[in-house]
Amino acid sequence: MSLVSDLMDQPGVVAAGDFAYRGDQYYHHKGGLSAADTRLISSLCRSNAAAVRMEGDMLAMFSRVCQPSAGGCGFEPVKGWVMHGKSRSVCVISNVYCVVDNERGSLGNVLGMMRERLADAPDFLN
Amino acid sequence: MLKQLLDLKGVQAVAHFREESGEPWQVHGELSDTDARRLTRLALDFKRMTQGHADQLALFVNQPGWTPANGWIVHGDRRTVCGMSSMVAVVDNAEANLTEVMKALAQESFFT
Amino acid sequence: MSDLKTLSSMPGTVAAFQFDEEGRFEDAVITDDVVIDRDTLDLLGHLCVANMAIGAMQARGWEGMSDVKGFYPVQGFTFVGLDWSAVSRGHQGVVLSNDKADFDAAYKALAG
Repeated sequence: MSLVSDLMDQPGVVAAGDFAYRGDQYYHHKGGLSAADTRLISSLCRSNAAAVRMEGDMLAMFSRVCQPSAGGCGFEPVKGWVMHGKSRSVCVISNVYCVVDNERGSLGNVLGMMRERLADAPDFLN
Repeated sequence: MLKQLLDLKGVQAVAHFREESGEPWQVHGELSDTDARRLTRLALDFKRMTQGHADQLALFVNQPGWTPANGWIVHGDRRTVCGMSSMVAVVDNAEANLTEVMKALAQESFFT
Repeated sequence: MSDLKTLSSMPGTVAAFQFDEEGRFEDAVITDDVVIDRDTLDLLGHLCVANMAIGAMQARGWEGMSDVKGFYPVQGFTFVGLDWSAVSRGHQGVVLSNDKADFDAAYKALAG
């Protein structure tokens, strides 16, 4: 079973998919989003991933305690992010995203599955 | 020649970096090794992020002409950083002409 | 603050606009409503505010670590798209056609 299918089997997961290149291409998508919305969410996820990656790089470069020479804080390279909305949240790990209903879903379970299955994924921004 | 950009008024440093890692490929001007690495890493990060914002803007407004993003400029208090393709320049606000710098970076990236 | 009408009269300018501290559209003079509308300007305002904040974060972090100063506070952000560019400073911006864009003149005019 693919990770995207497994995520969709989790309670409260509304949509899941992946993104490639600049987010305008994807290999897998499941859920009730239109083709236009799927393209938009994969593009948005890719864009936010690039921004969060930069913030991780900045912590490694500019924070005295997070520099690799000081032992690092483990933020760099960033692997993902979560946007907590009022009733739904978006989780991204590597190049996979998942939209979760806050009431019905468990972010812990979803993120746990994504982190475990994508632990060795190559750098998704290259 | 990237180095010739230093001949433009107000250009203090220029760098060409590797697209995949942000590592400096060529650096000219008065920057320490550490600062050069920081500058090119941030330039790659900013480029990717701006590209992402451009892609989203194009989808939101459904209008051509915004993406792919060509470059970005962060206007600082006394210094400004200009990015175009895999090139980045640091300029002095009081002396540099941004249009001239952006054109030179575009030309350099076209021939590199 | 600069006068939006004056800003919009610069060569290659299709709009001059004003936004609040979060990037929300406040006012604009649009000289070519075929290429730009209020919704796009609202998004561009948000894009400029987001990037200025990120640029400020970079400048702040940079100046804490490097001897090269002069970036903070970040005063503006320019987004160079494929055909169009948005130059912003403070809470105002202009949208320019790239083939006629004078980034320097636009940024200076935005100083008011």
